[in-house]
Formats: sequence, structure tokens, C-alpha cells
Amino acid sequence: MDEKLIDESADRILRLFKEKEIDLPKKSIVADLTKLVDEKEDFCLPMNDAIRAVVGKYSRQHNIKIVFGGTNSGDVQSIADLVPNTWVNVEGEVVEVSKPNSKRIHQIAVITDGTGSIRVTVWNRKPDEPHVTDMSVGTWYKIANASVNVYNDVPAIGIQKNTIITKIDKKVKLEPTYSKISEIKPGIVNIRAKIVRLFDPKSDKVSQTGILGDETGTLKFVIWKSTNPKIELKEGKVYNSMFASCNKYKDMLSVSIVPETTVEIDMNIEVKSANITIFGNFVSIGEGSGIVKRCTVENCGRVLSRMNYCNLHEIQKDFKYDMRIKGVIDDGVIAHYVHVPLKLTEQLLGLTLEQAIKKSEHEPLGIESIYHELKDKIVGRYYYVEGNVINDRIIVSGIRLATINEAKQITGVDFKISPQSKLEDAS
Amino acid sequence: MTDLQVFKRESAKYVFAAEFRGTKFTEKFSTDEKAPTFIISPTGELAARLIVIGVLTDKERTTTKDKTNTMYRARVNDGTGDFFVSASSFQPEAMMQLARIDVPAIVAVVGKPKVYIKEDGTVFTSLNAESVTVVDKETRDIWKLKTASDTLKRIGVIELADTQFAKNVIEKYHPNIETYKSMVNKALTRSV
Repeated sequence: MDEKLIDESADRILRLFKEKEIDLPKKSIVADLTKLVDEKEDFCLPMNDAIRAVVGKYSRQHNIKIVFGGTNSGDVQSIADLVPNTWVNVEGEVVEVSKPNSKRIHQIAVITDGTGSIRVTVWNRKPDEPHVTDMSVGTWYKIANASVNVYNDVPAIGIQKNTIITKIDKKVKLEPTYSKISEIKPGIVNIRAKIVRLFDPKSDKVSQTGILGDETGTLKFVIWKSTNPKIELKEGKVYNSMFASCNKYKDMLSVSIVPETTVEIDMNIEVKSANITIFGNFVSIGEGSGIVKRCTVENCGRVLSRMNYCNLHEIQKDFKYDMRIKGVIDDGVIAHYVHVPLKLTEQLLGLTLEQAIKKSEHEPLGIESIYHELKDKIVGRYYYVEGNVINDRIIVSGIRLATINEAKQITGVDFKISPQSKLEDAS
Repeated sequence: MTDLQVFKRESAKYVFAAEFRGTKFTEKFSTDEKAPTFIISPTGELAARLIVIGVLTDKERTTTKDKTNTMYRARVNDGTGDFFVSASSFQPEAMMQLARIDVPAIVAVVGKPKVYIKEDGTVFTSLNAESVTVVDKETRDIWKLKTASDTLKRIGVIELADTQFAKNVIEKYHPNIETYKSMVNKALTRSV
């Protein structure tokens, strides 16, 4: 090992400790470093790692905290292989930059290298601290001596004091890799999936929300209004969506789609449906079930109140009818909140939406009569239900009455014929 | 995220009438005013909600004690005994449903179990109905199977007596296990 490098590194360590007003004997530091890096010894550590080890040893001895960035040898790592809570160097194209509404954060970027993508958080530095290069979309950068942190289960590269961001001259057309829905973890992901279902956005901040899926599973998605979406996703269509950000909230995963990097593609995907099956009693059908009127304003579809009032678009002259059930199916252990969509509600009611509307016209309660009819027909009965759990609620994809034989199998008990009753029959 | 349930709905439990009538104890697991009160049944079911399916044999329109509100009282028989079901103006939905149903009928009642102690010290249980719907025989049979199965499982736990909860239940009730086994037997024996 180069003695000059060891000497320089020892000086570097001495300077670090000098800042904390601690003088270390250079001799022992050189000895320590040599032991760790010398090819004749067992360890053969890269110099950066050796420095870190030595800094660690002495800072513990003196009970102080010294941050020394970078345990790694300076090799560039694939984004897909990054390990949380380690020091990393990455190289890639910045595909997204935003300035969040926070005084503490300077920039949030998404960087991708073909193997994967990750968010980069650049914290604001104090005026006397050196600033890092501002990143811009479409440019390649090398980020050296950064650390991978995990916040809310989402890994992100944090820009530390010693992190260096350099613009690099590299233009490679990256071939995106798409993650299977069932394998998606919090972070930045590329998705190729079909829109299974769209829901009414419950918040003004949401442009579109629903479920997407591929052959491995389904996932909730959301498009925020703040992204100024110019694309409107349609049910049944397949999209390539790049750099979507997957988050975990209350143990539920969801992805927030970036509209600019989402394109419709001409293919079909057989979505794996039903990730939950329950046998239970339909114990409650809630208000808002039955026939509802929806706002016809583009992208809205909110349920109108009795006065045809849309929460966002106020009084509407036009509306579109829909029918659904929001209720509770109870398996004796968990009370599952369920949402039964139009097709299956028609099946349970035994009437199509048009027939139901027509029927309700003759009722004093109007369309509300269908809500009561659904209750009479369904509440208290046992059903087999298949569906997908989204936000603590099951979106039902299949439902049918359970039979007594199934109940026998599930409960493991059966009826007996009593000799006494046989006797009575005989007499 | 606004559609997330803030509170967890308590699931409906399965107890035969004969066991429910023997229930004497309740427990609250939180000091919160709105926290549910659970009944502790003699075989150790903890329930803040019950589902009962049986024959509505009797219903009566009456008034509350202070005579200010109308309410319905009803009896639902599951083959082991009667459940006393009530629906007051606090449960207008169940009241309206009960009003429409003619006796006798097979009904499914979902409601909150209550344990009352009368002035003379006798304990009385009833079910405050949240919903009463007419169902068919097959649904009633599924309920019986499920209740039998759940009761047998609870009896198993009490017989093992290796959990603190089981020990507490035994200490409270000193349940005669055989009585409850024969109750299940009776419920499962068809008289057809």
C-alpha cells in the first residue's frame, strides 16, 4: 500500500479531530491504517473504509461524534442493489425534480440508472456550508458519499455534508425494468399494469384514484391534482407508468402515478384478481347503498346528494345513475367493510340498473326504495365473497350465497337425527 | 384517505340463547366513554355484538319506562331458548323492520348484547337490535352450525383452562361444561 496515501489519510483524520480540539498521535493512526489496508495484513480494506473505522475507534475513545462520509470504496453501485443505512455512490439520469414546500428541503429528485430508481433528498445547507450542484431533469449525475435512508418504509438517498454531486457527460438510453405488482415495495417503481377500477376521488387534491393490476396482483393508485395531469386513465386499458412512487400507509401499499411518464400501451393483461376470500354474514348495508346519481363533469363522478349537489361542482342538472352496496360482511372474527360494484349488485338484487330505476319510479320513496329492498334481500344471510383489500375495505369481485354443505365443511359440525324425533315421526 | 374507518367495528359473535341467558358479566377494555361494553358468556365468548338467527315468536309494541318513546320487544327462539330482543327509537331502523315483520318468521338479528341487574339482584340479558331481517331456513341452519362450532371451540378452551382468560371465566361462572355440551347437542338435533 502506498505510504503516501496512508500519510495523507492520517493527516485527514488528524484534521477531523483537530476540529473537535483533540490531538491524536499521528504514529498510532498510521499504524492503525496500515494494519487495515496493508496487503500483507489480513484485512485489505479499501482506504475510505479504513479511515472510517479509525475515525470510529478514536471518536468512541474520546466520546465525540465525527461524521465521516463513505464507507465504500468509491465504486458506483446499481440503484436496484442499494442497501438501506449504507453509504453509496450512484450514477444515473435525473428524471424528476421538485422543490417541495419545505424550508428544510432544497430539492427532491428521482434518479434512475436502468436497474432501478430512487428518490434523492437534498437538504438545505447552512450559508457557510458548501452547496451541492442543483440537479435538473434529463441530465446525468454522479452522487458520491451519500447514504440510503428509509423513512416511512420508503428508501431515499440522503445528501450528507460530505456528499458530492457532479454532472457527468453520459447519455445512455435506459431500458426501463418493470416491477411485478406483487413484488412492489415502497420506493420509486416502474409499473406496467391495467386499470382495474376507478373510484370517485374523495378529496379535491386527487385527480384520479382506483385499482391497477397485473398477472401477479392488484394495488391502489392515485394521481394527485398537483401533478397537473394531462392524461386520463381509463378502466380496462394498460399503461406503462414510470417513476411512480409507492408508499405504505397503515400497512397498505399504494402508488402515486406521475402523469407525464405514463403512456397507454396496446396490450392486454390478465389481472390476477381476488386476494381475499371470506365466508360471512352480510350484517349491515350502509347508507349510500343502492341507486346513486353521479356527477357527469369530466373526471368527477362524485355521488350527488339528494339536491343533485356535487361537493366540487355544486348543483348539477345532469347526472348518471349507478348502483352499489357499501356494507359489512362479518366472518365472526373480523367485520369486513365491503364495496359491491354495479354488476354484482344487479346480480344480488335480481334486477338490472335500468329495471331497478323503473321499479323505483312507482315507489313513494323513489330510488331510496332500492336501498331498503337490498337490505331485505341480503342482510342476515351468509355469503362467499372474493375481493381485493383496498384501504381496509374489500372491493368485491365475486359474491354468492353460501350453502349449508359449505357451512358444514367450514364449521366441521353437522346436524344429527335424534331417535326421539324418529319415534315421533313414526307415530 | 378520508374513507378510512376511524374506529374498528366489533364483529358479531355466536352464542346460543341458553348460554346468553346465563350471561352475568360484562367488561369494558377502555375508559373511553364510547368504547364498547363486552359481555363475557359462561363459555368465555367476549362479544360487543351478536348475530342471532331464529324464529321470531312474539313481538310487542310498547313504550319506554318514562313513557316518552315507543319501542318494540320481541322474542327470538333458536331451539335452545329465547333471546329477548328490543328495538327502541335509538335503533329506528330495527324498529321499522320489526314493525313490518309478521310473527312467526325466521329472522336474523344483529345487535348489541346487554346485561341488566334488576333491583332484586336477578340478572337479565337482552339484545338491542340494530337490524332485523327475514331470512330462510337454510340461513338459520348455517347460523346453528356456526354457533355450535364456535361454542364447542370455547368449551375446549375452558376445559383446557391453560389461559388466564379461561381461568377468569371459570372463576366467574364455575360453568357446568356438560350443560353446555348438551345444549349444543340439542341445537344440532333435528326434530324433522
